[in-house]
Amino acid sequence: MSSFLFTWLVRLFPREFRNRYAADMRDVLRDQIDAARRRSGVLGVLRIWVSTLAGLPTAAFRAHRDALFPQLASIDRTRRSLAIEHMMNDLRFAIRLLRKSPVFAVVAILAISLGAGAVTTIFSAMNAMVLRPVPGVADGSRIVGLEFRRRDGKDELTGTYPTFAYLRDHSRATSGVGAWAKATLSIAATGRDAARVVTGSYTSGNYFSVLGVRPALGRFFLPEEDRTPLANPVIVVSYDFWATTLAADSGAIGKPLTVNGNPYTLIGVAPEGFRGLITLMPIDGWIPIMMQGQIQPERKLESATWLRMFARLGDGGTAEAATAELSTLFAEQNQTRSTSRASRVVSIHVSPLRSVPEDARKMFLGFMTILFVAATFVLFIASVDVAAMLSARAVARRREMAVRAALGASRARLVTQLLTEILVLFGIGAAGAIALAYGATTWATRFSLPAEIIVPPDLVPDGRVMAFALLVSLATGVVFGLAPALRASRDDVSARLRDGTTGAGLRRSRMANALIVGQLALSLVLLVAAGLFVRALGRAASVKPGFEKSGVSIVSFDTRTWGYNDATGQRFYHALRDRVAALPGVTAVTFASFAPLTTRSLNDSITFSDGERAFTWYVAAGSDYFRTLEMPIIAGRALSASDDERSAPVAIINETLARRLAPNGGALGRTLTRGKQVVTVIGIARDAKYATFDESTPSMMFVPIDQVWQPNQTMLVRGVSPAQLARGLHDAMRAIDPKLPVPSSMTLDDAAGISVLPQRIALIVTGALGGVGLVLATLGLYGVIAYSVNQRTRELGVRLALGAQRTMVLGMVLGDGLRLASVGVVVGLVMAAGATRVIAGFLFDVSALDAVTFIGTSVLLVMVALLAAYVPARRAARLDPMAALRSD
Amino acid sequence: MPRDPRDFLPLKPVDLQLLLALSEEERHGYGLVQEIAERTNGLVDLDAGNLYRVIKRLADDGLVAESDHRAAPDLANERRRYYRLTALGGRVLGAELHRLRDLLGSPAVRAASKRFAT
Repeated sequence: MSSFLFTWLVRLFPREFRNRYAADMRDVLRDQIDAARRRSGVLGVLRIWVSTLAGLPTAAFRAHRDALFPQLASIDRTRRSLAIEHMMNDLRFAIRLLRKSPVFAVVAILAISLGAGAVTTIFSAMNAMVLRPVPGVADGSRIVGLEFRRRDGKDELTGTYPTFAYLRDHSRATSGVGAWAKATLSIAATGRDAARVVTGSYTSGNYFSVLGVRPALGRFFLPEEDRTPLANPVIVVSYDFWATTLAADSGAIGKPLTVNGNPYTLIGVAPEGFRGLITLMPIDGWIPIMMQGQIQPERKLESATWLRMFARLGDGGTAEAATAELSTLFAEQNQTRSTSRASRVVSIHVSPLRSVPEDARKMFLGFMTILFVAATFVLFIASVDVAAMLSARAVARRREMAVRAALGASRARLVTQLLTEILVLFGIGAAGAIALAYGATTWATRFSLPAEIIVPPDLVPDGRVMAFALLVSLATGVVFGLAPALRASRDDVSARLRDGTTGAGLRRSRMANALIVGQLALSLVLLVAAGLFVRALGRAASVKPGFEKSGVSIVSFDTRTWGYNDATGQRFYHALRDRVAALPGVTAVTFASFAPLTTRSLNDSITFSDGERAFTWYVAAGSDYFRTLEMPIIAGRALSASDDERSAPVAIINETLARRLAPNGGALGRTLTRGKQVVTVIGIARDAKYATFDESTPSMMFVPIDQVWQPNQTMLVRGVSPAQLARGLHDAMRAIDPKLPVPSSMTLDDAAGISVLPQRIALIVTGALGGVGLVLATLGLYGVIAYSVNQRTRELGVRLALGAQRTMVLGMVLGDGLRLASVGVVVGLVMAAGATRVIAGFLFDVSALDAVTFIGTSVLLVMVALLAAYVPARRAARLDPMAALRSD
Repeated sequence: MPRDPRDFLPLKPVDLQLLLALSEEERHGYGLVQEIAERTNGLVDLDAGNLYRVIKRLADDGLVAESDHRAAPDLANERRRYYRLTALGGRVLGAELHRLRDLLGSPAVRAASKRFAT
């Protein structure tokens, strides 16, 4: 056993070291053990073993280091300093060489920065969204999220309170099961006039202890504070909230806060950086789950499935053990129940908790993988350019290398020298890549997204991203730079000294051509993708939604978060409508459950008078809804202010629903049943787009918002900009109730942008990558053509001297470029046809093989390629035959 | 070109002990471990891995070399390699001892050892 261990550890040493000393080391160890046994028995033997086992790995590591840098290992100071001097010399020489050819250095560094930067930027976003564990959580890798696996194989991320309570009280395989759910909280420091509406969380009593988060101030919840409904109105706020809204007042702990109109006590402040479990949804306030009945009385704790659950794996506990135990517990708990859910869910699975929820993560990961692959295309294109430039330089420096070799420089020295140069180049490139990723992610974070949708997470690169950038750059440097370096050093010395020509053999130029074709093909793929997104966005923009979406500003409210009840809420909306309607410039104002084209829709089941059931979308709308949106009513009348809870239930339906209700016309005046209400159709609206640009027109029903009261409403105002509206709104709300927080406004156009956000992001990324790729590929093509013109100077000179027309020479060189470009286009089109299938889902109705895009981008590529070839072609055509013949 | 022994100074404690141990007689690996541990009262206690790393380093720099000496063939350990001090190693050791003697004889050291005597 022990000797086996020793044999295994000896393998850690460099081979040369092993061959020479392994047997001796074993002898020494045996002698030591024998002596120790004689001297102090088993304990002595143990001591020897421990010190040997501890010593071997470090000795092995040092032996490797010594083998790698023998001069540095030397005791001889002069040898040591000589080695360091060599390194410094190489470095100095490399920098001097780069400074001597600044164009080469700048172009190469730029190319590396752009290529590695593209990859790093995407990686940085992936890292932030997918890879990083939840920030602020202790030992985050032990925290797992619970998923409820249904019979059909899909996962649900939420469960009921009874399920949670049972798991919490009975789980042994985990060291705690916690739960939370999103809550909208309106928090006001008592005595202040305005509340702040924040994203909050209903939180199990053990939430913070399971996560291992410690309070920055005060304390967190006690388990007993989450046992009795409505008993403990206590709140924990985020560090941000405390620092801004509470002015970082350390005396705030224990003081009262008003939460959604109710008195609460502030008991603690979460540590800086901890904002709950989902990066996209930073939490500012935590209250016990048991207080949920006060905030949302209509949501039932017992039956509704809306709690997200997580657990900490116990010491040595595995995810498999937790999955098995939690599934058994779930089955136990549901034995006595026969709810539809209990029979639907078959087991509970756990997976590492990341700051993006599982469902969103898969989608996001898919989307980002596409962008990541696109970025690696650019990295490849850039690397080929740099490799080509290094090759060309190597050729140009053959004579220098030959001289140095002749003067006694060993091949190893020459290679180290060249490698140093490459690593300096790629090292600076890596710095550029990190800077680029930093800039791009910072810009992306500022990129304002339609509010209420998502809050951009912290995308900015961390240590992992920096390491990634460095690794990518240096790896490409070695892969693409080492080959030219080796080739240059291998050259035959004496032959090189005699003359400087030849070299670019047929094989090498074929290789170069293949790489150029690859570059052009990949950049075409990127351009096609960008082109398809342009077409898709154009298609979306050209879609007539069926109403006038420009010129409308929107603001969303939720009166419940202010502690308003139904009556006070409705009074508020009416008062607000009157005040906003009176603002200068406002031509129409209305309310709705949500603004159109913001991807939101509500589905409801209705029954026609003949008993047939159907599903329809519906939206609650205020009296001036159709006038505000300029959505035409083609029959009957629009909603009016008198359609309220006291009058008969009515509805406007769209043409599609009207056709289903009465295929032969005459839908007006008919009734249909919605829930328990019999609703009379009083008007028919022209079909329009309601949720997204690419939906096929659904059935739609507009019901008066005063007949279906809801506390959260969106105000739509025509005639003023969001900025103008914000000013008027501030005064109007202050006049109604000075305590109310004023929400922000935006244009309907901006809000509608959310439905094409993935396309916009994809266009920005593929467009930028495609542009960079095209420039770099063009550079590559230019380089190859220019190089071949250079190589063929004498041949071209002979041709000209023998009477060849200059236009013919021009055409010949241009033809070379065109040939490469055509092959690149053909290869690229084939690749694109395969690749665009992946993005077909993002293209609305545009075909993934859209002819306009494919032809357009191909033409663009060929034109740019011809331009790149034209510069060296013209030089070739202008050659002076005599000078050309004299040149070597 | 004869190398200047002073280029190697100051020696690391473990290098000094090893050269010192070899200055008396040629030794094999375990003999070195034993001798050094005894000489330093266990302060320098080499494990097998580090012992040979140090030997390799000294050998690469030409301060020690493998010796032709073998123990009596009837002792089962005739396979063992013995090490000896090279001429350069001897000069380096001498230079280091000279340096240490100078150091210990300096007034500053004498004053310090008087003041901080234990």
